[in-house]
Amino acid sequence: MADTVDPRGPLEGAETARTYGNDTADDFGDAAADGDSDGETVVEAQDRFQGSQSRYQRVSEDVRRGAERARAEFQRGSERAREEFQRGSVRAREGYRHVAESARVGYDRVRTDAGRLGGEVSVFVREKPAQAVLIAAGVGFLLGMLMRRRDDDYEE
Amino acid sequence: MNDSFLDEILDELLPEELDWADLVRRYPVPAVLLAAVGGFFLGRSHGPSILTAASSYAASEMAKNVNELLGQ
Repeated sequence: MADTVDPRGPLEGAETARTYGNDTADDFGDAAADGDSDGETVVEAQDRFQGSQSRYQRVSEDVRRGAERARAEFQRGSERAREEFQRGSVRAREGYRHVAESARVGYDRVRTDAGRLGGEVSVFVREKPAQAVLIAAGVGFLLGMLMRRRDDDYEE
Repeated sequence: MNDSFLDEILDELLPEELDWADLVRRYPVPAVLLAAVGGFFLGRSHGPSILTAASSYAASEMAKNVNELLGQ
């Protein structure tokens, strides 16, 4: 891991490792020469094994913590997305209700106005029937002429 | 415009046996719609010729009045 990387660079690190390997080999050689090499080699191997084991435990602990962090982040993100979605749906529902209410009010107003206008038209027509009929016919005549002219333009 | 003059126009245009004023008073909205639709199709089919005839009639009437005014 981080303690095995030489900060001075790969070439110098390799050189250090080679020197350390030579020194270790010399140590083993010296220990063998001393005659009590069996006991010390076992002790060193046990130490090395324990060091590797503790390192492995540290790494697995790091991985476990990272996985827990990722899971917590994922849960937080999904919770936030769910809240945003709920908020958006509430906003959309309110907007729809507002638009529907406005449309209903507008429709009621138009219906009321149309009814009042129809009543006024009826009163006018009953009071002056000839004028009303001729005005309606004149408006229709003008509209018909305009439509005819537009149709002629399209045909040309 | 005078109502009696308009009544005379409609009396001349429509058949005598038809009591159009009573019909219009009894059914105001359908009568107005019927008049508008009739005017629309009339203007669409014979609009220019009717307009020409009306303008010619108005011009001749105006000329007649001017002549009367000048004493000729």
